[in-house]
Amino acid sequence: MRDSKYPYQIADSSVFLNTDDEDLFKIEIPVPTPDQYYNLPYEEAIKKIDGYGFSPDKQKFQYQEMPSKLKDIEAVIRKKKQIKPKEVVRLEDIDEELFSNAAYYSKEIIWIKKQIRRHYKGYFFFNNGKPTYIPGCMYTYLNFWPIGNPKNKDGLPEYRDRDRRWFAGVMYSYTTRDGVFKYKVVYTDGSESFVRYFNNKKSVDEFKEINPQCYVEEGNFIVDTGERTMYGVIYPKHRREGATSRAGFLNWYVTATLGIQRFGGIQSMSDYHSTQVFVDHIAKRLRRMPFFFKLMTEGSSVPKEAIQFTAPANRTAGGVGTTSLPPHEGWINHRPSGERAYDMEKLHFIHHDEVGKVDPKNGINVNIIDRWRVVMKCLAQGPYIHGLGLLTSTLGEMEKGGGDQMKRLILASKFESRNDNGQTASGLFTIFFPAYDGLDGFIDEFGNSIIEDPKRPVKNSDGRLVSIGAKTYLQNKRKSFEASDDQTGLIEEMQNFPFTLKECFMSASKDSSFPVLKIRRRISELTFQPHLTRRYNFEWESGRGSRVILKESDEGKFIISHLPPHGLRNLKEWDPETESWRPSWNVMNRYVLGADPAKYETHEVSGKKKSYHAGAMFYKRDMAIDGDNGTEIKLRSQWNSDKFVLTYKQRDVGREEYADDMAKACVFYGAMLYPEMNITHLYEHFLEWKLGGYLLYDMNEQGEKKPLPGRITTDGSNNSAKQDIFDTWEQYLKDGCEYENHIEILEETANIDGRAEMTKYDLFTAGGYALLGSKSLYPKFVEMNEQASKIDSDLFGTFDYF
Amino acid sequence: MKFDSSEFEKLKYPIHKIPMDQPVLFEFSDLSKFSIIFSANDLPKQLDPDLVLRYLIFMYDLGSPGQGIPDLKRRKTWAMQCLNIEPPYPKHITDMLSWKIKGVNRRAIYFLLLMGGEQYMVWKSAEEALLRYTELEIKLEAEDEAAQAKIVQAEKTRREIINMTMSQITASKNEFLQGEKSKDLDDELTEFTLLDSLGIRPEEYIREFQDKGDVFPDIDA
Repeated sequence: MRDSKYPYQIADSSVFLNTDDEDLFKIEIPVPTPDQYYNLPYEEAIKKIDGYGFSPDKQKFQYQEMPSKLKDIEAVIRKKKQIKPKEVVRLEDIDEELFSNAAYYSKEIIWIKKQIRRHYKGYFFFNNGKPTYIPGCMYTYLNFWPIGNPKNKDGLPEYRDRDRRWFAGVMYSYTTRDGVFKYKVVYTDGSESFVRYFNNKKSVDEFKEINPQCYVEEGNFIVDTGERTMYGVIYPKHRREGATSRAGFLNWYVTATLGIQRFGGIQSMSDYHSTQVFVDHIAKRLRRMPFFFKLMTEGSSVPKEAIQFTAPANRTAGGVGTTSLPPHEGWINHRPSGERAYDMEKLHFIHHDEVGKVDPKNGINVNIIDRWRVVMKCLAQGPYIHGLGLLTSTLGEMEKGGGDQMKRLILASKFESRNDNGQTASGLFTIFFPAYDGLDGFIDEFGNSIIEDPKRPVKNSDGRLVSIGAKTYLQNKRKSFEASDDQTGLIEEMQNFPFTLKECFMSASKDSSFPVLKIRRRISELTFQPHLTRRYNFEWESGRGSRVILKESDEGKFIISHLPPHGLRNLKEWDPETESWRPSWNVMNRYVLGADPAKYETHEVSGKKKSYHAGAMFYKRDMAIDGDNGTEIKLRSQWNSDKFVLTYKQRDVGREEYADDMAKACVFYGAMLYPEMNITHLYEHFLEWKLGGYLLYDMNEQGEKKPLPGRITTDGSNNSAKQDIFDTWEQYLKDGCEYENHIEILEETANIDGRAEMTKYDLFTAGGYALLGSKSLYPKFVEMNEQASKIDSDLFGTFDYF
Repeated sequence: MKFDSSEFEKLKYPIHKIPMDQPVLFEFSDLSKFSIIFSANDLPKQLDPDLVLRYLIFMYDLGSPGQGIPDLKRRKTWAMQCLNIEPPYPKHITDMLSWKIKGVNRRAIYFLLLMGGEQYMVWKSAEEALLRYTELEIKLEAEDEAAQAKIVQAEKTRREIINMTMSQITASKNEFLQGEKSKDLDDELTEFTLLDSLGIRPEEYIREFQDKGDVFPDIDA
């Protein structure tokens, strides 16, 4: 037994994913320790690990060297059987050679068996003084899956610690039965106690109603559910980091080698791309695998569509394999990008490549969320999950449509947010590595990431000395963009090399006078704070014109971030002059509802693109709550007002329903409606319903209100309504977009590309009207009149007049 | 069928109760586990996989009345009669009976494995033992005459064991094959056991992993 004079480190018992990201839950994944792996006491076990006895600086991952007899085996068979150079040496010839000469090949056979065993069980090696475990899949990937790495003579991948964590994470999703729960409920049937776990408070409450004697404990419970809980992983990948190669490899590993009669699939953003992934990352690689990993397949050339693991039709026609054993009978193929391409199929692996690259302008118009939903059914039989999904997309290349969908998928893939079955909403969890973890050129000779600045220069895997860490290197690049005030360049840099998950979704915009970087930052923050807004509907309590009541609903038409205090809701008064209702004067100067009606009714849009009915309510700065109090200054970040509080964007509602919805919002908040008047039905409906007092007018130079409320949208280089809208938005965004709570309205401001696009950005337009309306002096004018009347009235009450 | 059904009551797979137009494979769970073998598309067109399976059951089911007919040629004629097939047989039947069809041979090996699992295990162990003893290297270094004598003795013992093991292989193989002596069937069996002994064909170790969750447990990883 070898002994070591070196004080080695203790092996880790787990690896961690998603560390140091405020929007991601840190995931701990257990890995075997040497004593568990070898079933020996720890001190004995480590002696069996490759690299034991060497000094730490000599301990690195070493590729397996194929024994020379096996390297030469094909040549030997060719000679013995006089096989011509153009003919294929069949697998059964190799088997025959090995078995007929078992004694001669005995060590080689043991070596092969060792590779196969490690392929499943994983492998330990000493790495810089630490016993390090890599999963079986990674072992075979590193040793036998040529990816064309120019640094390796056989093109094999380089060992990287980041990849080790990645493989561990993906395989964890394939095996874990853990569910994460917030509530533990202990109940009894009268004679025995049982436990159930929940995540949904409503479910707990319902359960308590049925079992009033139960005991509820709140916490963070990780429970073995008895069945697999994860369908796979969604992974925003870095450019040229090898993730597509790893995904191709895992497709083969899971489909072909974890059981027979299994099926693997690939979908990408187009047929061309899925073919590329299939051919370049699976079919070509498989041909270079050693014979003991090669299943029987149909045909010997590189397939373009599918690999069928079936017996060749003709044993002598160049088929790869033999007919002597029952074949695997599975396949790996690729399909077009459409949502239903694998519908009704049974799958054991699916790779959805480039899920964030949907680009309708180039005909790539796939709903990746629907497609994933379809494929989930292929990966499971009822509640029993048998397959694995891997969804990847390159950072920095997420187009608008796909990027949004990918963002939604990621939000539905929060490790800690589970349903009552212990699963995430998407069935996936997100793996994210910051750009500085595993960055090219910043990997040390042991495969570890050089993240922080090293105390002294260290050698990287290319043999060069590195004196700064990857984080400093990337920060320096960011600083140069900041110094030159290059917003677009900085955003691109941040998205290509994100430090946090949020930064993945900052997309670069065109030249704009808007503070795009600030907007994007706020959008990224709001992406992970969905609780700031909720969806509601409004209803008349007893018919139109009565009080309005609020109903919370996941399907609600209104997205709301602020509600007026109870005493300030539904405050309206009858205006005998106009014979209509209007907001009480003490609330009418607070809220402005900008409205942008759709140009056409739903039934009118045959052949035309449907537009939305939109509304956005702005809460003007309210000095009563956000004013300074004596010497105490209330900071802008503490204000509740001077921001949007409600949005509405609906396509499939009629004009009357839209007007009714706007009316309810106005009555509830006491808001004034400032509509776009190119379409007048809102105005007409408000007058018809005796709500004319809720219409907001501009005042002319003479201090008289204009004849019509709102504005007519006009275009032109100067003084047009459209230009005014852009100007007022610019001012608002520069002053306070970092305090805005409505992501949906900020996204439109970030994406709109000039005045010509206003018809496509209905919330932007409605918001613009709200901001313009908030400048109208009309409510102040009414308020002043009311106050004057009140003073008059008081005076009349004080003095006697004759 | 020209036989009394009571004669077939001891069949492990009582196919006499299953009408000829109804496939027998999925009537029996332990047979259907090998459906990939018994329903493979590797037979001549004229030869129905169901008929082959019925034939194998009548021939080699240990509860079949056919076991009472030691002469294998006569037993085959009897089995054909059970299937309502009388001589002269068409070519595909003759080929089946004389082990000329690889798909039939493979089915037969698997069926025999179902019938004679114990004999197979004895045989396989003997094969493995043979491999071990053949590979064994006597590494002791002779420091004196006594040690030299020990090495010679060890080598002699090794050869004796090898010879004994080979006899055991022959006996257990014969028993496993229920007396069948055909070069084609023998080749099929050799191929089967050969691969089973090495176990390094993916089609095989993947099945092993799927069934047991482990492969080559005796190999130090």
